Order: sequence, then structure tokens, then C-alpha cells
Amino acid sequence: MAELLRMIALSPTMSEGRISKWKINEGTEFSSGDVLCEVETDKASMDYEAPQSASLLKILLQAGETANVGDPIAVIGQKGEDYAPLLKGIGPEEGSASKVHEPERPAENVKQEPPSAATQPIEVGGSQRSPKPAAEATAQLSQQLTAEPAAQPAQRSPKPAVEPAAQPLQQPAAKDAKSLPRKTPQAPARLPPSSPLARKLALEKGIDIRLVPGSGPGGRVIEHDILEFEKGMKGTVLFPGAGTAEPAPSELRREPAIIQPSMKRLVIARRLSESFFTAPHYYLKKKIRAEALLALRATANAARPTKLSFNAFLVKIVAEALVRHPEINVYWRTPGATGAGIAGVGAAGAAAPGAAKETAGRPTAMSSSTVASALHPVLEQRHSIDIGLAVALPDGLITPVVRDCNLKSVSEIDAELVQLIEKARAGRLAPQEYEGAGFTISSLGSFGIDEFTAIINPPGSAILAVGAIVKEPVVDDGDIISVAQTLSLTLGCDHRSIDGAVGAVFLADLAAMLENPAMALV
Amino acid sequence: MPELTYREALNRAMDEEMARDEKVFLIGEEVGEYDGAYKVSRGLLAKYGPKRVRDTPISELGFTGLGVGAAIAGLRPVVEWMTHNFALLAVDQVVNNAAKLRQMSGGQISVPIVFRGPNGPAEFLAAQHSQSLGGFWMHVPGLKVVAPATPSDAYGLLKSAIRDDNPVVMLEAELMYPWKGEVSEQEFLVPIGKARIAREGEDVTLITYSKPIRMVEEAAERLAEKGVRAEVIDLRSLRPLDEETVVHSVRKTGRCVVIDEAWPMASPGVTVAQLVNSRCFDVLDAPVELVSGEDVPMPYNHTLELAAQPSVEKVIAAVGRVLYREDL
Amino acid sequence: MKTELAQYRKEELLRILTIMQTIRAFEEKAGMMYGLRKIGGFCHLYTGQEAVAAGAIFSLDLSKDYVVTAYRDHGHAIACGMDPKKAMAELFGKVTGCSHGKGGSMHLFDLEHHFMGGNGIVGAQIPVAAGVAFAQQYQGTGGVTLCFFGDGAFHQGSVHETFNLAKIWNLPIVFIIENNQWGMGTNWKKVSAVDDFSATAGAYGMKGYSCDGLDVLEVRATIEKAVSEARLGRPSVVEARTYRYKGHSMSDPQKYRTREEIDEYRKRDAIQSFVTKLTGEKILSEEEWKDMIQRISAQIEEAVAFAEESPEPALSELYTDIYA
Repeated sequence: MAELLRMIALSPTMSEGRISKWKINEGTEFSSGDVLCEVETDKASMDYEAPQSASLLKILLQAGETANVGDPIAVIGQKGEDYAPLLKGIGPEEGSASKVHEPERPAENVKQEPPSAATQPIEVGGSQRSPKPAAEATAQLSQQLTAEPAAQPAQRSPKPAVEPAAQPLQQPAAKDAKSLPRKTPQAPARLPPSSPLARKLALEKGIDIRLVPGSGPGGRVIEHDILEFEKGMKGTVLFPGAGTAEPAPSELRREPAIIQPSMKRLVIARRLSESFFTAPHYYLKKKIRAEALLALRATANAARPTKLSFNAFLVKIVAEALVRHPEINVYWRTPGATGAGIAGVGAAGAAAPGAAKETAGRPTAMSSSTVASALHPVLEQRHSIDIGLAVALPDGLITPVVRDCNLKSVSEIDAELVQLIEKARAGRLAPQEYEGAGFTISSLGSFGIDEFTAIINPPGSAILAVGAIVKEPVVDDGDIISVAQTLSLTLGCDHRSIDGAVGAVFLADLAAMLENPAMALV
Repeated sequence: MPELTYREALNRAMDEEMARDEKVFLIGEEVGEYDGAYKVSRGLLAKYGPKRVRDTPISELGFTGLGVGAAIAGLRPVVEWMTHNFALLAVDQVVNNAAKLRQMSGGQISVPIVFRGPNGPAEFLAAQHSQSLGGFWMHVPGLKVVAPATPSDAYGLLKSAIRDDNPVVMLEAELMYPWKGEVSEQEFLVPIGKARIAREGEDVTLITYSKPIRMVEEAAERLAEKGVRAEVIDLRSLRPLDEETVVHSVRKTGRCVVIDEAWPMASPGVTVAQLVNSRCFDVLDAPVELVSGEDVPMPYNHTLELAAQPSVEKVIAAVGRVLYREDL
Repeated sequence: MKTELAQYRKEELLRILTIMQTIRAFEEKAGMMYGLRKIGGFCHLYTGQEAVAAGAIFSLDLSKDYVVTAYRDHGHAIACGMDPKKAMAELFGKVTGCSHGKGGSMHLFDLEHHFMGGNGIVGAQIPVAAGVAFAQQYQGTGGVTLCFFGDGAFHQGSVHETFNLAKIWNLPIVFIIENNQWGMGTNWKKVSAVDDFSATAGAYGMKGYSCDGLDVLEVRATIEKAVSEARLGRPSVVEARTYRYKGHSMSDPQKYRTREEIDEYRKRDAIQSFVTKLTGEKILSEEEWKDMIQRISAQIEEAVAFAEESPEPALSELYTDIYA
């Protein structure tokens, strides 16, 4: 019963061994436990003990040669046995599996890993990489993934580092990656902190949770907030009937009713307080003559079935003034402060299909949030002219925004305003329609207010308060007193971003353009 | 229904099971002549004799391991540990033998054995005698762990444990032994792995086991005075854990406080909190709160000792946090 | 000598030899299969110690007696009558193994043959064995438990606790210390306060016996006496001085002892000595011995083939056999 003696693992980590010396010669008998040969393993030189008593019929692996665990190294059996059949299949090919050890080369280099996909070039984000061992490639890939999250295809696992080495291979390597354009990073859809229950309820009730101010720790939106938001402007008594008896009618007359403000009210309160108490406001006043503007409007409207609003002209001319004075169109960004809209700088543009105009040439939500994550306040120069117009509604103020006013005609602006105000009244404004104003106009002229000061709409730096057009006596350059149509402008500025003189120059230029609209064309 | 103390309920359970099955025997330190260090085995020696009520030398490892051997050879031992603190000397026998012999033998061997004794802090006993070690046992697959909090459950769960073909560790408590409660005169079993709703409520779920139950019920009562309807779950079994009762309750309330007198790291309470987080995530209105024992060895001084344990005040404060109510 | 052998019938002597040779062949094959990575983890071979398990267990009536041992358990399992196929399949981690591949080398169990394992924690099986004896006494089966442990385990506290319990309750148990002289890589003399473990029995009011663990008939005679005492409620302690040829486990490079020491013991090899004795007395011929080797080696080959061909446990086995 001749049999092949095979290389065995003489240490737990040994994968191959080199025979350093045969202790017995071919044809010699040995007993179980005798040392047949010495084997150099990865760790030490070990004795290869005879597993049974027999004779050494043929040495297949000579001293100095190396074999993998499991490879035959000798034939053992009884003397005189024919072992030739055993050697069939151990031809030169199998023989070549054992190779002469080259001591001057480190073991890793001798070992030839079977070619695996792991050693193929891996391309990530279009950059060509040279062949790397799997482990290294994985490490690189995971670095890459960490460093450039936005460049990854959506289906890619976010945690490659813990994946087995083979994992990256299943990911779009060369071919797929090449076809992926490097995209401008997009803002992740950021939600305010909120409890899972609140998110679930908001989803069920169709409420945009970003509109809901959170009353939990760190502004967390909780179930209570969603339920209150749903009640909307209907102020409700706090915890009706909870623990206390229904107050008697006489008590009602004596005690003030405790009203839970609507969520919208709370937002207005928070944002405007934040603006008023953190932004150092100053005000510049200027009274202008409005005849030219009124005449322009009359002329334009004469040929139209529908009338363009005064506000549309006002917005257009303010836009032109802002084009000339970019220093006014800035955001003062404080770390952790409320963002541009009611519920912060959201992913409005990214999320809403209707916001196609959002991108071109504008500071992106990503860059601004990146900037805002810095430790210090920063000044953000805006490139688009987005003007908010405060609209009074029964349940509170809202400020729809007309985008890119410098690129639009008065009639376009007017049409948008009509639509926005209609939506605002219906309570159907989407966040991207009231967020992100660079400059705001508030007009109380229709209420007969002569002039007033307004609170800046953060993170914008300036607000224009416009009073009513009134007739009043004016004294002209020739000291002639006449009756004129006048309009009071009050520019409120954030002194952190706009100094007094800067604001003054802007207001003077704006006043000149309003008094003589033709200047806006040149 | 007659009232029994927790101690009497355990005694009755053992008495009935020993009468019912000749294979059941009680073994431990002072269980015989002394009637039990906490008098749980009172009268059993007189009734069943020294063969079946076996006083041991102070050899926790030895008699615990001997119990395991007796179990695999066909008996149903009830091993009384004078306290779970002393059982630490026998952890190897419970973890490496009792819990594993069935699996390591490919199901050939059964280990029907009960390990029981007082667990958790009592009073003035200092660090080595005031530890809640249920988590040690709960950690181990192959064991079952029960922690009855009422005389009725003590009776019904011990009977179930003795009849179970698996090793069951039972957590009692020194301060619970004199607790009184109704126990039906009719024989009954309480199933292992089924929690008890100790109080129903809609606003918040309070989950606990063993001795803290009364404190938690008091907290629930005080919360009710403030208009908060707390549901109280007494887990009764730590392994298997009655996930469905827990999940069902938290899905109803959306808020959860776990009360566990064990230390906070790798504890039964943390396991329950993790369960709630993973299975009730979408309904949670606040993170699960854990009111645990403080992360310190128990001090002797009584004021410090009390401060190291969960209390009504700590529970109410935690409920305030999950309800966002600062007025609680 | 003649009188010693004369106590036994020929088939008894051949049976003992068969057990020893089966263990030897099994272990040599297991070592080879470990080297070929068919077996993983810890694998403690019994080669050299065969006479202890074979001689001791041959003294038992396994219809009522039990055997409990530690992790160097292949020999005891085979001596109890475990089918080498089941044992080898277990080492291979196959579902056909005695423990469905869940126990491995250290955790062989065979309830049918009253072999209660197979314990991987040094000394942890000692109180368990006392519990088995307790149950035998409690149920009045008349059975005895043999508790095997090594010179390393002797220093565990469980030994003291269990010796004491066994004596105060007069348990039907025999504690067998297989002193193979090396507790892993530590020589027993370096860590033992006594140079005769059996002498400690007296401290517990038990009888202590010593025997040459390389002489299977001496082991057999000693254990037979201890077992009959144990049946009468007199537990005892036996030290069998023996030697293991292989490392503590398969990953042991054995740098702590010399090859000369191993060779010295191989010259006194328990199987070879026994064969010499039997052939000298004409109880066994050279031819019969060769036949026996062939037959056993074929049986072990068959066990390996069985293990090789057996299926892996299904993944669903992961959660079985944990609870009743």
C-alpha cells in the first residue's frame, strides 16, 4: 500500500515549506514518530515526523526545494512495491509547482498570487490607477470614497473599508467609472433634527418638516410640533383640559387666555428676533419724487389689458441698482445661525424640480453650507439678484422671492409676483419660493404709512422699507414751492456687512434711478 | 386569593415540584439545617430529607459544577446560590458547561437545572454584595434567565424553570423576599419568556424587571397625578426576551424609559433599549432613556448607596425628557 | 508475567490491543489530516497515552458507568466505543460527526456509550464528573464515573472542591490523573508541590493509587480495583504516569523538551511493549499483529473517507441544539 507523503502544515500559518534536509535515505525503513526530514516553515525549522511505520521509497522533493501544503514530497510504503501509478499526474507540471527557494528574495515576491481581479487597474472618478495588490487598492479606494463622497455613484456602498477585499471589484471599475462625469457636488437633503415619529407623522400628513420649528432639544422637531403645525394658524389653548378643570366663564373674563402661537408665528418670532438682536441695524432715509415712475407705469399700462403693479417696477429698478452695487447683495453668515428661508438653507433647489433656475452661476447650497460650517462668520458675495417682497397675510408675514430680477423684464417680474402672492395667500408656497432672498422690499404704502423701518430678512444684509406715495409741497432748486408726488424710502442695513457710507451711496443711486428710470437703462 | 410572601411563594414552588418529581433536589450552602440563608427552603429538609435537600461546603464552583453533572445524568437540580455575587466563583460552570453541553454534544445532552438566589443591591452591603449581575447570564446563549418581581410570578416561574429542560438562572432579591402578593391556590405555571404589563398607559412605556418594579410603579402613580399615563412593563424573563410585548407597547406610546438597577454598560437595560431603537425607530419621538444603577461599585454609606440606584425622581426626570416636559 | 496475562482471556487481551492500536492509528491519521488542513483549531493528540484510556475504560461496565474527560479526548471516546467515523467526521466539522460538527476535537460526546465529553476548560469537567456520580448514587444505578484529567488540571481549585465533595458524600467516582508530564510546555515537577499526585488523596480521606501509565495491564488492574471500591461508595484517586509523543496541540513546536526525551519514551512505547509481551507468550503472532494493523488502518482510512464525503452542516444548524 504505497502512498504519497505530502507536505503538511507544521505551523498554523504555514502555507508552504522548504525541505532543508532529508534525515533518511530512499529505501530506508522508519517507524512512526521518526523524523523523516527537516522543514523550514514561515516560523522555524520543524521536524517532519513519520505518520506511520513504512519505508521511504522515493523522494520527490529534494532538499532545498519548496512545496505547498498538500503537495507530495515522497512516496512511502513497503519495500519493493510498485509505486509508479502513484506518480502519474505528478508530471513536470506538478513538479513545477515546487520551486527552488531563492533566499535573497523576500517570501512575498516569490509567492505568486493567482491573478485576480483585485490586481486589475481600478479607476475611480475617471483617474487611471496602476495595478495594485488587492489590499492596497482597497485602501486607496476607500480613501477615495471618503475623500470624494459626491463623486460616487449612488448605489455605491458608503463603507467600503469594512467590506472584504473583493468588494470594490463589484463596484463600477474602469468602464463604468469612466462614463461618470464629475458632477458638481450636490447638497444632501438636509433635514432639521427631528424625531423619527415626527418625520413619520409629517410624511403621513404631507407636511414639509423643514417648515416646522422644533421645540425639542437643539431644535428637534417632535410629535407635538407636527400636531401643532397641522393646526396651523388656529391658535390653540395649551394642553386643553389637561389636569385642570375647565375655567368658569367669570374666570375667563378675568384671566388672560393663554394662546399657543401658530407655528408660523413662532418662526417669524424666532427669525426676526434673531435678526434684530444679532444684526446691528442702522437706517438711511431718503424721500424721492415719484412722478417719473408713475408716468412710466401709466405709459406702459396704457397698452396692456392687465396692469403692471407698482411693485414690479420697484423690484426691477432695485435689481438694476443691485447690479451696480454688488456690495449690498451679500449674506452675513454666522455659524449655526438660521439660514436663508423660514426653515433654513434647505435643499430647496436640489430637491424641487421647479427650481431649474437655481444653479447657473449662483453660490450653491453646498458651498454656502460648507462655508457656514466654518468657525467664524463669513461674508458671502451673491451673484444672482433675488429679491424678496414682504407680503402681509392674515396668519403672518411671508416673503416670496423673485429670482434673477436683473434678467427679467418688468412684465415677467409682475407675472411672477402675481403668481407668488396668490400662492402665498393660499398657503401653498414651496420653500424654494420664499427662501434665499438677497435683498428684501417691504411696502406698507397701501396701509397709508408714510415711512417706517423694517427688520432685515436674514441672512440678507439690507431691506428697503417703502412708504405710501403722497402729495406734498416740495421746494425745488429754484426755491419754487410746488405739489409733488413723493415716496419715502428707508434702507435698513446690517452694519456687520455694509458700512454707512456704502449703504448711503447705494440708496442715493437707487433714489436717482427711481426718480429717473431711464438711468436704469444705462 | 391568599397572600404569600415572595419567599413563601418560592418555597411552595420547590415543595410542589419536589413532591411531583423525585428527580428534583435542592443543593446549596445552608439550604438544609439552616432552612436557607434567606429561609427560602424552610421546612424542606424536614419534609424531603438530606438526600434531596443537600447542604454543601462553601464551594460554589464545586457544587454548581456537580449540579451540572447531575443534570446531564438525569436529575433536575435546583442549585441555590447564597447570592449571585458568590456565583461569580462558578461562572465557568454555568457559562462553559451548563450553557454549552447541549450544543457541543450536537443535542445529545440535556442540562435541566435551575440556578437561583438573590441578586442586586439590598442595603448597607457595600460593593461585593450589592451587584445586579443578570446581564452576565443574559449574555450567554444556552441559558434562560428569569427575574420574577411578584410572589405570584416567583411561584409560577420557578415551577416552569424546574420543569424546563434547559439551564435556567433565576434572579431574586433579598429585599423582595418579604414582599407580599396574591398567589392563586390553584397550581399554575408562568411561561418563561413572557413579559407582564403591570400598568396600562398611553403616553410613555416604562420597562423594568425584578426589584425596581415597585419603585417604577410608584413613579407611574406620581406621573398620573400630572396627567401622564405611563405603561409599565415587567419583563419577568430576560432571556428569552419578550420582544413583542415591548415593541407593541412602545409602538403605542412612542416613548420609552428603561429602568435597570444594573450598571449601564453592556446591561440588560441597554439590550432592551437597543431592541426598542431597532424595532420601534419610526415611532420614537425621543431617544430611549435608560435609568440605570450608577457606573460605580456600590458604596456602603446609605446616602451614597441610594444615590447609586435608580429612584422615582430619576425615572420621572427621564420621562420628562422623553415627553419634552420640563414641568414633570 | 505468565500469571499476569493468565488472568485474561485471549480475546480480552486482543480487544485491549485493538483499542490501543485504533487510538494510535486514529491519532496518527488525525495529525496528518490536521497538517493537510482538513482539521482546524485546537487538536490535542493522545499518541503515547493509549494505555491509560484503553486500560481504564476496559475496567468499566458502560451499561451503567460513565466517562468524563478533558480536551485530549479522542482516545477516551474510542475506548468507550465511539465509531471512529463519527469521531473523524467531528474533527472534520461534518454534520455526521458525533456532535454534528459543532464540538470539534475537544468536544466529542457519545451519550449512547456513556461518554460525557470532551471539556475544553482545564479542570472544568471535574465537578461535572462528580455530579454524574452524584446522579448515579441518587438513582441507585450501581454505576461509577471515571473522571480523567491531566497533571496540569490537578492544580485547579476545582480539584480540591470536588475531592472534598466526593468524599463527604461518598460518591462512586474514580479520579484518574493522566500525568503525561507536560502541562502544555511546563514540566509537572516545576509546578507541583508534591511528586506523587496520588499522595494527596489521603488529605481527603481517600485512597490513592499510582500505576505505570505505559503498562496497559497495570492500568487495567489498578482501575479495576479503584472502580470496585467506588461501587461501594469509596471514591479514590489514581495517578497514571504516562507520556505524550506529540505537542500539547498541533500548533506546539515543542521547544521545551528534547527529541532524546521523546525517543526514550518511544522505546518504552505502550503498544509495542504490550505486543512484545503478547508475542512472547505466544498469544499473538507477528502475522496476526500485522493483520490487526492492516485491518485497523483500513478502518481509519474508511473513517477519513467517510469524513471527507460527509456534508457540511446546513446553515440552519446554526440555531439548533442550543435549547431543548
